Amino acid sequence: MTGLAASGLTASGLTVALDGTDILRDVSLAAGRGEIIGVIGPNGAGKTTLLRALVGAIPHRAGAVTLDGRAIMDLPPRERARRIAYLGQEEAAQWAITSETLVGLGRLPHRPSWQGPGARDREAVLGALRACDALHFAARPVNRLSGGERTRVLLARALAVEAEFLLADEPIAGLDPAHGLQVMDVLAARAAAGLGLIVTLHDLTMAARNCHRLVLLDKGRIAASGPPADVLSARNLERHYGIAAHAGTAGGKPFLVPLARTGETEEP
Amino acid sequence: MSALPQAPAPAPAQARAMGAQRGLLLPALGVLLVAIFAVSLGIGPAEIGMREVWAALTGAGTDASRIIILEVRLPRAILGVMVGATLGLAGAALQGFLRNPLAEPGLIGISASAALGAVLTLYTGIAAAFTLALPLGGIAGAVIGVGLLQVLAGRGGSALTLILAGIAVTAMAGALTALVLNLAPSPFAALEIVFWLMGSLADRSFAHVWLALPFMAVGWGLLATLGRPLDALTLGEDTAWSLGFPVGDVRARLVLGTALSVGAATAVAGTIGFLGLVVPHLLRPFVAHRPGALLLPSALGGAVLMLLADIAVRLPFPGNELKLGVLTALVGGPFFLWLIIAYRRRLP
Amino acid sequence: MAGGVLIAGRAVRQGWRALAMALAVLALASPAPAEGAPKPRRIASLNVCTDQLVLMLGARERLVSVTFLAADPSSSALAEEARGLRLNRGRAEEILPLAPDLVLAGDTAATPTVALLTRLKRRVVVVPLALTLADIPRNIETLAGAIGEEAKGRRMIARFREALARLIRDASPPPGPKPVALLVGPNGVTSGEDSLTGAIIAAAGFANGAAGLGLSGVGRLPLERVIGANPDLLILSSLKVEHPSLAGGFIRHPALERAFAGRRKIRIHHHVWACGTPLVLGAIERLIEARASLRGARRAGRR
Repeated sequence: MTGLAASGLTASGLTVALDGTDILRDVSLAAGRGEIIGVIGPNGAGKTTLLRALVGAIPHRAGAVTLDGRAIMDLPPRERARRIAYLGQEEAAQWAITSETLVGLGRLPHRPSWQGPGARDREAVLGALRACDALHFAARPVNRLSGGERTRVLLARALAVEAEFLLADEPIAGLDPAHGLQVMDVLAARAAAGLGLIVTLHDLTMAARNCHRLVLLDKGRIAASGPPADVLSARNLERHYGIAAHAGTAGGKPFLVPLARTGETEEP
Repeated sequence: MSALPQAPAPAPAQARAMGAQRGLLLPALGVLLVAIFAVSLGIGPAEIGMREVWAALTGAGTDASRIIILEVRLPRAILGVMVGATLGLAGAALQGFLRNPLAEPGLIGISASAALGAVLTLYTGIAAAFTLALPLGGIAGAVIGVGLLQVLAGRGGSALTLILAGIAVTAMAGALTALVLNLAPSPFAALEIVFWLMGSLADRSFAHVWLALPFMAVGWGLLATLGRPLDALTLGEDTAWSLGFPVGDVRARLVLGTALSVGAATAVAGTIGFLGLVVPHLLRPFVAHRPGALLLPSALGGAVLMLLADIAVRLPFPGNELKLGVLTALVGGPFFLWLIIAYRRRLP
Repeated sequence: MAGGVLIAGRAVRQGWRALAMALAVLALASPAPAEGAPKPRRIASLNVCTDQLVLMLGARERLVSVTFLAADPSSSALAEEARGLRLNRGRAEEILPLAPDLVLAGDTAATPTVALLTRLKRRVVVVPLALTLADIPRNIETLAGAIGEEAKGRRMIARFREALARLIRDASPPPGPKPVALLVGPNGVTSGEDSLTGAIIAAAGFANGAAGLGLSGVGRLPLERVIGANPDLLILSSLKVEHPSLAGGFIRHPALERAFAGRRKIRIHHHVWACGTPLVLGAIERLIEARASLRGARRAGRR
């Protein structure tokens, strides 16, 4: 993708450095509303950094991030917060607040500082909790939740923002298969309702099944981008992941099973 | 937007009860504060009964008791409220921002560096020439202390790193304070280290109240704006940013607010530790552990606890009172130890 | 090193001769050196009170060292005169190299130093702290005898006794209850009955407020007790040169300012009555004036 798209969340020519080293080099991608973009790649490729840069939490050295043509840094912070939600990797709630309170944090951008939560906020919180199957422990403090339960509550918080775009970093890490599938279904449903999604995933089957497009990141650069079938070619898997995998379809949906290491990864 | 059917809100009775508990917290603390303030006015080496205290406050009573109440005990109690509120508020704000239950201005070295700044301006005569120099010196010391802490503990400091950095800053500041006092020209200086390291509200006057109040008020104002940001920071800095809170700006307000209020407080009352640690912990369950909601109750709770401590130091040996820091350390020290044990698993 | 041994050797020989005198002095605590004994030519003083007495007796050129307090106007009335003399901090190793043939000390803090010097066979004369007005002429006599200025000493004592008698006679306290005075210093330190300041306050015709509060000697009074005691006169003992400290703040507390406005408060510098010298007469005189002024105000108030 080149140039600035007129609508959607777009990064063009993004270069991000941390502690003096370039983590991302000249990365461009675009996500439209209702699209699910999967960002995949080996460890250390810069996936997390990309998402952090897209929400603006870290500055970029070069390039631009725009929302519907406007640079996100030019947006008033609360507007940006209402329109772009972020779910970080390994988030941990420090304090023993209830799940419901935590999910309620997602509504903060929707009201000025002096106002308490209103009916609309409560509605959104309950909806998010229900969608993530977390309603039955809504009143439990988060430090008494299991890992999987906590992941779902954190996702519910991000959904409660009811933003136009959601950037989710490893949203199904640590979830059992049932809940992992459920979360991806929730996200798919939200995307179908108009949410634009950029998710990083390690599970290549999930990536293949749920994403409209994939972006393969390796060593800070975009190595491949396009429909999952194209990006998850044997050649790409060999070059960038160093694996050989068995690809197929089951029940009409693709799957991908890593089989062996090939010991070949592309040198920079 | 999904069109999900509405579910009933969870356990309305329970929610109401919790809300009522939270709603009662502030008024309860307020009433407690007023009551203890009144008791504090009745405590001292001169025997003055509560009726006489009231008479003195309303302009009646003997000359001596009126002067004692209005010029000695009243400014002392007011200063106690101010300093206690400062320490409680700053402790809650620091714990919220650093996401660390072991943080408080005394433990992480802010009070010690503020004391150094104040001592430098007082004993070198700068404060004699320019009265505002005293609180400003305390504030400058606090700012430097926070800066040093940032350098030592870094941005993502773990609890352990933070405490270690705090120990280092406190040790350095304490040593330099002792040095300044030893070299000071006044013959009383060397003995006054006890005041600076252990804190006291004895013999304070309204001069000290007016000196510290403007700076403290500005500091409180800054810290009070941190309610929402601290709630958002529960999930970390990136998420807080994504919710629309500029983390760098929040940090600046925290640093400045803490430096202004704690700096001024230390300049007039010496170093008083552990209050900012204990108060937020005691009150956290009453606000359902939300860091933003903890700020105002911690200010009130800090004032209450400070007044209680100030009453306790005057009770055992009338006329020869203990230093405040002794009492807060006696209570706070074991509390700190218990905290470390309870959080041991989380410390790396 | 060798020079030190030589000096020590010479001093030891001198010391043997003076030791007998010193022993007699210490034993009797009322020294009258044998007639014809040579005047000490190298006097070292380890106490700010003996410093000032020696200077008052005009023996400055025979002093080899005085304490650093002697040159500090906060502690010494003769700071100007002490200028140029070598200053010590009361330690033996400071004055031993100066080969003194007489060491003057007080009977307070420098006791280990005194013991050391005595063991090293130096001639040491201990002048005890003056606790009553009668101690002053006695100390002058002790000291004058030790340094060989008996005649000057006798003259000073006579002048002192005469001036004191005149003051007390002219003041002629009226019948009736004595006004109460309370002495307060930085940090609330006050002196009770058994002290020189207590004696001075009594001589001026006041009752000592500290005694009424159960304090004898030096004690600490909290601010509230001072105000609550409500003495007729509050005496503030301050240092002449005030370096900033918290203690200094005590004397200037607004409560004291309000409680003892105007003539009910008098400030006397610490160095005037810290030592038993004829200078205390100045303090007595000022206190007598204050008492008269209080009496006048009371009479005016009653009319």
